[in-house]
Amino acid sequence: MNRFTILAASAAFTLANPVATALAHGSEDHNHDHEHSESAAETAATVAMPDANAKVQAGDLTLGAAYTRATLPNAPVAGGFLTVTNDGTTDDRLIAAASPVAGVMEIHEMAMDGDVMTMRKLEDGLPIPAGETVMLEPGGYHLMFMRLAGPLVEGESVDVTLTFEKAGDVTVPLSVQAFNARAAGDDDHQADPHAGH
Amino acid sequence: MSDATMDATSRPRAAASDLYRAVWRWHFYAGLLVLPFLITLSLTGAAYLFRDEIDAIVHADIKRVAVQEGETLRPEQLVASALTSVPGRAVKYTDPPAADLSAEVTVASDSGQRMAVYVNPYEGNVLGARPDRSTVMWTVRYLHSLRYFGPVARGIIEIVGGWTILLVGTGIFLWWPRGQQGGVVSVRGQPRRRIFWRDTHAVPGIFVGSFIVFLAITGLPWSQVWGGKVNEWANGSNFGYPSGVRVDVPMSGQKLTDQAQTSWSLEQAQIPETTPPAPEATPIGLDAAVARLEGLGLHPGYAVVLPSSPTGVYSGSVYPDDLSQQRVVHLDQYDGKPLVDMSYADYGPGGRWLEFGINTHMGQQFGLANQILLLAVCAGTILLAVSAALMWWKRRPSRSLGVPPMPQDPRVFRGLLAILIVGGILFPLTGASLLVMLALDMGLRRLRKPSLA
Repeated sequence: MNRFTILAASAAFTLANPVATALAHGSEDHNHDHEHSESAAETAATVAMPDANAKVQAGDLTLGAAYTRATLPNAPVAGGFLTVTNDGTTDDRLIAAASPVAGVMEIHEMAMDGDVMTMRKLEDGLPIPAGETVMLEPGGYHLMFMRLAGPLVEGESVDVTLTFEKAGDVTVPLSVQAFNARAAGDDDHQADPHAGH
Repeated sequence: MSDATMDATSRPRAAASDLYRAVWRWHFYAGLLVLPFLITLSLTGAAYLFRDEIDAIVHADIKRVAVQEGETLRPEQLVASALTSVPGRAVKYTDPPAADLSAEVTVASDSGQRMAVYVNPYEGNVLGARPDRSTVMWTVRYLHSLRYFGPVARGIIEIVGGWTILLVGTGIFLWWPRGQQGGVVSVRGQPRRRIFWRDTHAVPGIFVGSFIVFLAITGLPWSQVWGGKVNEWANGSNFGYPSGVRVDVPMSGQKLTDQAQTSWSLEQAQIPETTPPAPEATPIGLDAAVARLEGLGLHPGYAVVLPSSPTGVYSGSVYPDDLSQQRVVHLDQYDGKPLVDMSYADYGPGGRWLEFGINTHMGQQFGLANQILLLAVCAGTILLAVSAALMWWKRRPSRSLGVPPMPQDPRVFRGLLAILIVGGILFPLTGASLLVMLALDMGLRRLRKPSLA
C-alpha cells in the first residue's frame, strides 16, 4: 500500500477526503449520488473518478490507463484493466490483486481461438518482463473482481491493490467507465437498456 | 460358393439355391451401399453414447467447476455475468445438471452470432463462450445424422436406415443353418481363408443384427422425409401437445424446437402466449421463474427460454435420462402462472414407446449398461463391415465387381419383391433408392447376358 507515487496532479485524491476528487472531472456531468453504497467498505473505496490517464509509479513499474466498467444489474463479477510498464532490468510478476469492493480478486487471461473464447485464472500470476509493457485489456489479460460487494457505478472509482513479486504492493484507482468501454477515458458508448434482461 | 451350404440333398436344391443367390445378391447390393455409412454411424454413435463424459473432458475448461459449499448464485446474476463478457440479448438459461458443472447462458450476441456462454455458478465468473451447439458432441451428433453436410446428405442417411433393415433381413436368411458343420455359432477356418471371414461376419451378425434393426428403426424418426412426415402426422394436433394436455391458451405459432432442443414427440409443440399485459406490468424475472419451475419439480439441468417479446413466456423444459422426468412448462411472464404443463405421463402409449425407443437408442434408458451394450453393438457393426469387405475381397473375381450370380429362375424374386414393395412404400426414400438399384441391376444383366450365355 505504501510505495506508490502519484504522478498526475489530477489524481491527487485521498481515501479520507473524497471531496478532493471533485476537481478531477468537473466538466463531466457525472452522478455523484452515493445513496446506493451504504456498506462501509464501498463508501471507503468508491470515490469520484480520477483522471483515467493518471500514472502510478511503483519501483521500476509504471501503472497507467487503469479502469473498470460499470456492472450490469445483478452482475456478480467485473473486469479490471490497466497497463504495466517495466522500465527496470529485472523481470517482475503480478501475483495478486485485492480490492475493498471485491471479496476475491483473480488475475485472468481471456483467449480467443476462432469463435471460441476461454477465460482462465493465471495460477502463477502474470509476468512483467524487463523493458516491456504488459496490457491488461478487454479480450486479453485482466483483473477479475469477484464476489462484488455492490454494483460498480459509472463515473466513480475503485481502489485495487496489486501485489508484484519484486515491486511489492501498490494501490491504483480504477475509474469506472461505461459497461462496454474498451479503454480508459472511453465514455462514448451508449449503455444498452435491455442488456440486463 | 464353395460353402458347405450347398452340399445338402440334391432334390429341391435348384430352387433353394436360386433363392439363396437372389437374397445373397441383394444382401451384397445393400451392403455395398450401406457399409461406409454403417462405419461412420458406428463411430459417431459410439462416441455420442458417452457425450456427457466426453464433453466434460474435452471442454473441461468451460464445463467443469470446483464444487463449493453453500448456495450457487442466482440465475439473473449468472446471466448478467454472461452478458458482461458477451454483450447481447440472453435467450436461454440452462441450469447446471450437476454440482460440478457450469451453467450455460445462450446469448444472441450483438455481433449476430448465437453464443453459448459458460458461467461458474458459485463465483459467477465466465469460463468461456463458443458458438451455440459447437461442442465436440454437437458436431458428432450432426455427423451421425449427416446433417453436418446439409439436407441431401440427411436424405442419404434416411436411405441407409431403410437399407440397413433390408441388410439384416437378408443376412439372417443367409445365416440360417442349412445342415452345414459350423458357421452358425462357431467360426471355421483360418484368417487367410474366406470361410473364416464368412463366419466372422455371419456369427456375430446374428447377435448384433437385431440391435442394428432396433437402432435403424429408432433412428428413422429423426430422419428428414419419413421422420418429418410421421412427426407431423403423429404430433400435428392439439398445438403439438399430447391430446390430454390442456392447451386452452393463446398460442404464438412459434415452435418449441426453434428455441431449445426438445423431444421427438414435441417437435410440433407450439409456445403459448402471455395475454397482452397491462401497460405497467413488469415481468417476474428469471429468478422468480426459476423458483416457480423448481417448485413445480423440474429435474436439475432444465433449460429456461426467456421471453423475447411482451407476449412471450418463460419456457422451462428438461429431458433427462429418466424419461418419466421429461417436462415442459410455459409460464406467464407477468404472473408466473403455468400456461401449459406437460410431462412424459401425458404422452399417449405410442408416444411413450417411441420416446422409450429413442431414449434407448441414445444410451440413456438403462444407464451405463445401456451405453456399454450399444458400444458393443457399434464395435460389432464395424466388425461386420470389415469382415464383409474382406470376404468379398477374397471371393471377388479379378477385374470385376464380383456381384453374386443371378438366380436361374427369376420367379424366386417375387416374394422378395413383395417385401421390398411394401417396405418401399412405407419408407419412400428407401423405396425410391431400391427402384434405382433394381433398374441398375437389370441394366447390368442385359449388358452381361451375351457373354454369360
